[in-house]
Amino acid sequence: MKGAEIVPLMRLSGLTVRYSAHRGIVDAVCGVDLDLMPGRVLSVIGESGSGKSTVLLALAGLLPSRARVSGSLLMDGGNGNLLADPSAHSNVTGRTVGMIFQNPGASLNPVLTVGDLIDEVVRVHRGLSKKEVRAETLSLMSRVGIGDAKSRAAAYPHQLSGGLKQRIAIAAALAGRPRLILADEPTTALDATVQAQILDLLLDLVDREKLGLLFVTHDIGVAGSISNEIAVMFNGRVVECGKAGDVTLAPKHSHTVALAAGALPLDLTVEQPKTSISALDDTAKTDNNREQYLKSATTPEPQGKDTQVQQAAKKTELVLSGITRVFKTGARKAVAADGVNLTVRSGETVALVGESGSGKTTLARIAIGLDRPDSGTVILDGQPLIDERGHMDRVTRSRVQMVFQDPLASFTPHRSIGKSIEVPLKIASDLTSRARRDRVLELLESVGLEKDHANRYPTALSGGQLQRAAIARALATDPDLLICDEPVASLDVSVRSQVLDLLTKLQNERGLGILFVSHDLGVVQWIADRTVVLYLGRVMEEGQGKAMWQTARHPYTRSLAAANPSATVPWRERPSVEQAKGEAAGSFAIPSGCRFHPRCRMAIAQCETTEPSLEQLEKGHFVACLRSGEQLDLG
Amino acid sequence: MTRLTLITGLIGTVILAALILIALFAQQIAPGDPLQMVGRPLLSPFADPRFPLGTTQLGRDVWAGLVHGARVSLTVSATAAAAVILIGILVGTLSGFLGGYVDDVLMRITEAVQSIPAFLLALALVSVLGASVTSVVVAIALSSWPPSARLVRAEVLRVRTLDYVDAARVAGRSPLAIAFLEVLPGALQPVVALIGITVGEAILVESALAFLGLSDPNLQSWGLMVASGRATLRVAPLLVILPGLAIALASLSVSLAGDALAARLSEGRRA
Ligand code: SF4
Repeated sequence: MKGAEIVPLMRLSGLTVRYSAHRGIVDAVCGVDLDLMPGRVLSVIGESGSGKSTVLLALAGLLPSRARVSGSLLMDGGNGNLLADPSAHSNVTGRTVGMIFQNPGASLNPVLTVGDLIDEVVRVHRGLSKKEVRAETLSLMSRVGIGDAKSRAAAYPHQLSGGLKQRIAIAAALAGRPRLILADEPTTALDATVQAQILDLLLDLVDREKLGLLFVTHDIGVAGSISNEIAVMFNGRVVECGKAGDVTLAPKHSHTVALAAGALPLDLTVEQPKTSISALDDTAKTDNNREQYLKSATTPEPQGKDTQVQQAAKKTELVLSGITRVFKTGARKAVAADGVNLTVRSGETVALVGESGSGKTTLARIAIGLDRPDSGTVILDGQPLIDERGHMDRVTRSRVQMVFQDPLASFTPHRSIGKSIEVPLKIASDLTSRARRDRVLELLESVGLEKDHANRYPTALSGGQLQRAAIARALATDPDLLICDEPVASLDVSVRSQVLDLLTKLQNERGLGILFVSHDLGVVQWIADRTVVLYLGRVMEEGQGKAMWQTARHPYTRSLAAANPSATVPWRERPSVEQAKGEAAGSFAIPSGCRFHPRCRMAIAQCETTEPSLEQLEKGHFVACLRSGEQLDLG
Repeated sequence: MTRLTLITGLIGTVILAALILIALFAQQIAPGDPLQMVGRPLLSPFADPRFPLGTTQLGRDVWAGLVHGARVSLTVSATAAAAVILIGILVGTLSGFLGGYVDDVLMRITEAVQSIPAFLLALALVSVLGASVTSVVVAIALSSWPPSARLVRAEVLRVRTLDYVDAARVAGRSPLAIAFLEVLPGALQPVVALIGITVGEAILVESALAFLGLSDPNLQSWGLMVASGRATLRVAPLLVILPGLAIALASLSVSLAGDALAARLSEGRRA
């Protein structure tokens, strides 16, 4: 060590990336400066199209050749501008820079075993003998927390879970002994509990080995909790940059404010009445109405002249009981639902929460008749949803409607938005085509779209507009119940809150019952009146209201809550004792006894043999855990 | 679309348009029956201004033969290709959308047909049905549909898993309406790419059948011209070369235009 001064690991200044397209020149990135010190984490956050990924690709020298790049990039105190000299880059990529991508499945070569895959990278970067290479590979694998590295090295990527794949990708990124890790949404595709483990690993590496981590993400919660510094990007520029705490607690730029407001963090501390969540659209202050509405909806005799309450008088109830659904592929059986009971009534929002493979989407599809259970019944107001011949009559059909996850995929591409919204009307009503068109315009207006949108095609609308149109379509037949499958998961954060506001507003006006499938606990906490937590096809816990997450008793629910990063709580200060171990076994191999036991930190011997049943702890709060009766004192 | 596709597409389209015009106005361009003996046999080109491309060994006008042949080739192959694609769409959509038992049966039939070389099958069919234009169309249609059926089926299988199909089910559309109004239009784009190839192939098969004397002997077609020119190949090679060129040009222009159209469509889809 010579001087006391620490040289920045990476100093990027004036980065501009320019594409010449048909319609003129587009600056994807414009004058971006970033500094990163060793042992620190810098997050670049922004919505889709903000240029955050372009910055990352420019740093890695992975931009397509038609991109014109200017600016300077100095690494590790050197003085060669790596942006100006792309040939220097090929040496650098993988040596001083390691790269981790969003989808570990796609970034790993499927025909190589993971051991060979890492060997390959080690061999390219380091002059080692064959034996040394494999030894190095194994040590890399254990560095990223893969136990039993020797046997895992013989596995192919598809045989590994998402979390393990991402660990392998990290090991490969570390193989060239980089000082700087570039990570592009590395945890976005992972389940919450697995995301938590990967974040732990990355932060450990940064701390232990004094690496620099440049973390690109759309999630201000993750960014705020793991970073030292945050740069917020919007339209190709850095609009705000500073210490993580400053950016998340006291955002200055209006875009950061919007991002922070839309993020809907899971609130485990105080219960505060929330008003409209939308930072951009405050016409929709709906939550107060909503509470009122709920109150009035539960009183037996509404005395108001309110038409909303009148509507609610015809109370609808969808009851799923004993739903079991097993998907068979060849000899393998995947259990998507295993004896699930679920009720949705008009005026309430029931959230289905769980990680991938929990069966939440299957249940939603069963609830609307898109899929049929192997056993169990779906009853709508005393009548089976689907008759014995597998048919659903016109009236029933029009009473339950659905909003899908990906709004673009949910619209027929060769049909205009207006025509698409007309389809259910045509089938369910006897309106003339004139009246139908008027109704379409009315519907568009009720979801905040313009008349003009009716004539456009799906690709001409933004994600948020499309999801509004999808809601309009779902409402076309004036349904009593709405099934929403991750309706905001594919939307940008700032749009998300507007769509959620719209849903609650419509619910208030029409007394809709909503079944809301989501993996985003913050969203669920905000919108749900009742929350049902699923794990591998079974209900683990069911609770009421926003306090559900504070009072959660099931170890799985608590691990979900603990894994949820909050922008204002540094990652290391979370109660990590509650974290679940490992990853879900997958719905092909349901563990015996309590299906959560292999991952449960509270498991006792009995858990391996006895399957707990769902029991009521207090009113409206059900838990399926053998130890639910005991006093919990975790965290 | 790359520059090259654009240029070749343009060339193809221009040639194709010219051929279609010639076929449409054959009577005006070269009046009379092209099978009629109009002049001295085996006149060489440019020898007599009335017969710019000379005459055949039967004294038929070569130019008139080519012009009228365009009409026969293009109508037969376009009709046959339309039939091929229609069968393909029907079989592919039902098979892909209904799945299960129907899919199994239809796909086994498709494979059975495909295992016989298309040309041999067409040959056999024409010999049974008799030599006429209709039987040539039927023969081509019945022997060449499997690839388009399989293509449509694959696309339908992809499209039917998309959310908008579920959205249509939720809206209460009947399965048939979903298959043909929602799924099929989404699956059609690669079929457009197939049109060029199918028409091009149909032109070749039609010519080959005519060459073998299995098409309508009362209609002057390119294949027939090649066949009859064969006898005098040494003396008057142009009698074979000219109709041969016409066949090549027609099938090439159709493929080029079809490729460009498909590229254009896929670009529109992405934008
Ligand atoms: S039953 Fe046992 S294993 Fe299951 S959640 Fe409770 S303590 Fe954990």
